[in-house]
Amino acid sequence: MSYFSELSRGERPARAVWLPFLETLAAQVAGCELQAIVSDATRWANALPRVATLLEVPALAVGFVDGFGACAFADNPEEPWRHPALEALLECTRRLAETERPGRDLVVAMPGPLAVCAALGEPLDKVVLEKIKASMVKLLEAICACRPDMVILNETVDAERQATGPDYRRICNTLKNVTEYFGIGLGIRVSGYGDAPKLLRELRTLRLDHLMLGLGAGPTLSAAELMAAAEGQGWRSVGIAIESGQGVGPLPQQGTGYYWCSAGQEQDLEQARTLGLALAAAL
Amino acid sequence: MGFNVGIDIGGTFTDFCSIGDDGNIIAYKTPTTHYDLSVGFMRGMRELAKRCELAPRDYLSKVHALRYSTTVGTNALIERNGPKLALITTAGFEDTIFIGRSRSWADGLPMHEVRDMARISKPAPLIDPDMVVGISERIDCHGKVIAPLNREELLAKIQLLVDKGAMGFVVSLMWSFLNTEHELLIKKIIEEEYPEDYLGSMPVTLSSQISPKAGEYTRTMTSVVNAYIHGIMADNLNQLSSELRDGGYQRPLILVHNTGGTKKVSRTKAVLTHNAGPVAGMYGSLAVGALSGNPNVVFTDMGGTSFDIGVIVDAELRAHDFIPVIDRWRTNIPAIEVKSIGSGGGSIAWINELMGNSLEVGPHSAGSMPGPACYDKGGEQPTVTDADLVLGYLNPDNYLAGEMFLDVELSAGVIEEKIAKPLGISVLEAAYRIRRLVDARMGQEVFNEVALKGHDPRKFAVFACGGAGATHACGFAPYIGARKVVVPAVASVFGAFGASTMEIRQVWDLSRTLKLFRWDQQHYLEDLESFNGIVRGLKLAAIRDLKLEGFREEQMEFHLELDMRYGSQYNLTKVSVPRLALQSEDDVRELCDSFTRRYSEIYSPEAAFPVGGVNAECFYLSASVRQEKAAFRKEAGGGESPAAALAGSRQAYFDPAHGFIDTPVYDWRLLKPEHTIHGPALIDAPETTYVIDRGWTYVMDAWRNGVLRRDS
Repeated sequence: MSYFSELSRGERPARAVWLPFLETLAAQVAGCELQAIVSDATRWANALPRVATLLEVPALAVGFVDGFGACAFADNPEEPWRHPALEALLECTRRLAETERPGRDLVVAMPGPLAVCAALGEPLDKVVLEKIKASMVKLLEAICACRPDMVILNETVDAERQATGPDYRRICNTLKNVTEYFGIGLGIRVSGYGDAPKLLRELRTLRLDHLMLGLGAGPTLSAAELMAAAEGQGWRSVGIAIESGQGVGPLPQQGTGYYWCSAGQEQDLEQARTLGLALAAAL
Repeated sequence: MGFNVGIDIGGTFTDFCSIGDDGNIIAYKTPTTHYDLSVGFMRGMRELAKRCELAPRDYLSKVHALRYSTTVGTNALIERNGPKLALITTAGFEDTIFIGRSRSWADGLPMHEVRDMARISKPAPLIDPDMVVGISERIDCHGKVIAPLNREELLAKIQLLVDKGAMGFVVSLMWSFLNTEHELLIKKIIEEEYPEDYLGSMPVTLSSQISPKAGEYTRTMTSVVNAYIHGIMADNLNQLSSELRDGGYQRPLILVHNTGGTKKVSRTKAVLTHNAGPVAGMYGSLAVGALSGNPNVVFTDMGGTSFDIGVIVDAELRAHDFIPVIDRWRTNIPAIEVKSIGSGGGSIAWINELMGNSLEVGPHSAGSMPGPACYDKGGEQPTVTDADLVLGYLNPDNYLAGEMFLDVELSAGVIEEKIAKPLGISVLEAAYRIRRLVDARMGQEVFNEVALKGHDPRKFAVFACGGAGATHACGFAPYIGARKVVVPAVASVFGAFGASTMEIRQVWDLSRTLKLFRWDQQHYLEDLESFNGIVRGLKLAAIRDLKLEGFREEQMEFHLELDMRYGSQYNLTKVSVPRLALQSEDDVRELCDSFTRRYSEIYSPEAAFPVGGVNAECFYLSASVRQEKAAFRKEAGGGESPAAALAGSRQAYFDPAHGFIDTPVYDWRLLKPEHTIHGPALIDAPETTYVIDRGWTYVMDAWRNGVLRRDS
């Protein structure tokens, strides 16, 4: 049984994993720019597993590129899933779900409500959230129909301050109900936060069970400190960002499911491979 | 301890019912996962295991039988994702399936669409006209070959069809049900040309094997529908069987048939699985009716998408579908009659501008995704469930045993936007009207099914089943005039419960015309062997088939029915035959008398037409396997007072005269037999909510069924 599908089913996987963001490396392997690969589903779906094979990772992260997809809501607010970027994401996810499983898990990122509001240049308020809700639901439905193991709302801007209000909570609730219908876990990824313990506590009010942490804005807490802050909050899983070259240690086998993830797109194949080997030994 | 499990997939929810050897019943509902039915199926199995405090593997290994009524085939027809088929028929009859029957353009459509003559049209055919070829051959009406099959011509036409992309063949020749020689020969030739070890091997469906009955249109369409859904169902069910085997289930998956039996997947014709869920509900009604002393039952099942109605008279399922329609196609399967209309908890309320802004409910449903607005999955249309929530009947924090939270603000919002504002009324009044309208529609349909078919509704108990049945029973029952409404203990998963009580059974049918009585000569059939030989042939086929499933002949029970009619009549009447072999002229006379009695019951004695003589037209032999019936637990009474089960109160709206009133709410799990509750009151059960209207009294019986009676 795979790590993220077990998490989505409410089970606690026995062994943690590393979830690296490999689109940049996939672009290098395919001999093109990052923007080119994420707009071409064929190349994306071909190159990503090849890099994953090189690094021997058991899970594929799709679409974890800063700001990816949010502009689709600005360009085509009625049907953002028809925007070329999101069409490529959907097609790539569909192909990977058919070709890479059950060997590998699939975790897909979609722009979160905050990221969408930022792309629209609108404030995060009830009216705007009501406006984007229908298209976010449709996009999420389309992603879920591709059958990934987990979907992550990628919020990179100011999540700490804005993402805990009642209106935000309400749209997250709707999105979670949609993923529950498909039996898929829904999580949120935030980075650029200031106070990690506070963030871990406050985001829990969203009823989302899975959190993926990017790098904080201030001094980075150690993994042990982050895990201590997350303990007892009720998160089913917490992904902890790790940068290449950083020291790694074992993760707890009980309680919340912790796993390592990239802080951003991996840039160097050799460094990533070294990190992967170190993590494989530690996990 | 072992378990019998029934699973019923509906348009909105998938229902599970596990009956333990000790009689303990566990029910569970989960939204139907239309994107992959096996997801919801396995989710339910895991939940049943959890509720039995067993690991999923341990639970599955203890399951005696898993009976499943599936909608995979129906979905394939709706989505039109079946294979590209070719039809081989007798030359000159290539257009039979396109011409259809006189009113085939209306088949399978709801009444309001049938009346819309300006827009109604024939459905797109399952086989393209250019994929139909006629073959020079002919068998006459006595089964004699009068023009042989031309092999060279056949090969050339098969090649033509293959070149056009045929992925399977349906062979339906004239009078093939009397003589199968040509159809079998065509199959042999195709299999010789495209043997199984070739990638180009294609399945061949013969009408004489799927439906050996008279009527070339219905026989061909039955075969076409079967061929169309066969591959998809086989793939889907094989995958599911494999998942179950991996999970620890060690026996074959059993499918519920619309003819009223169950059989292994490997011995089931795809076409027999259509609409099997409501038929399973009918069998559940038989079981509960026998327990609670109700031989005459009107079975109703209000689910999320549809409202199903069936009638049981004298503890027998007599009504067979007169014109069984699958999707838009008239077939000739001997299906049990269950009427369905598009009224359920998920039915969408809308304003019909063409009818002067009149309020309408259904037939479209919000289904399981997005579902009613209150499910908070992005639904933007007001539904019956939204109205029930706004009226205060449903507990938003305890829907589906607390597994789903309902958002009353979302319900009120969509009702206001889509109904109240356009009509210029309040949200509450709009919700009340939605409820009244759906209740009236259901009540009228039930009345039509019972009273207009010659039964006295006062002699019937109405069984209110389905997730929304208990919520609306007091609303639709007055339209029927029924005095007693029974809400079975497992009403919310009644199809699944019915499936788990069904026995192994199948019907073998064959068209043969026999003149049983000649008026002009005033004599009865003398050649009894012509009758007995047909029955013997069917019985041998049944025994062979059931032996292959591992049953012994001593376990089998047989029952014969005939389609009969007066000579020169068009329509047929089904008659039950008490014996399998006719031994004397008296037996024939008795059979003809049975027909006359049955005919008179249906059409009045004045309509009998013995001058035409009496014909037997079609033979139906059902074979079932005797099995031990599950023993249901009876509980001791707890006196009349339900005070111990009182869980609190809720503001609920029953009528404009009283407005919102503080209504007592009882916990169904704490109620005991004999407890009596006078309306208005609400009962929260794990999977449904009972609404006891003003003027109604609820009493729980010894099997935890709720009996509702209208105060005189």
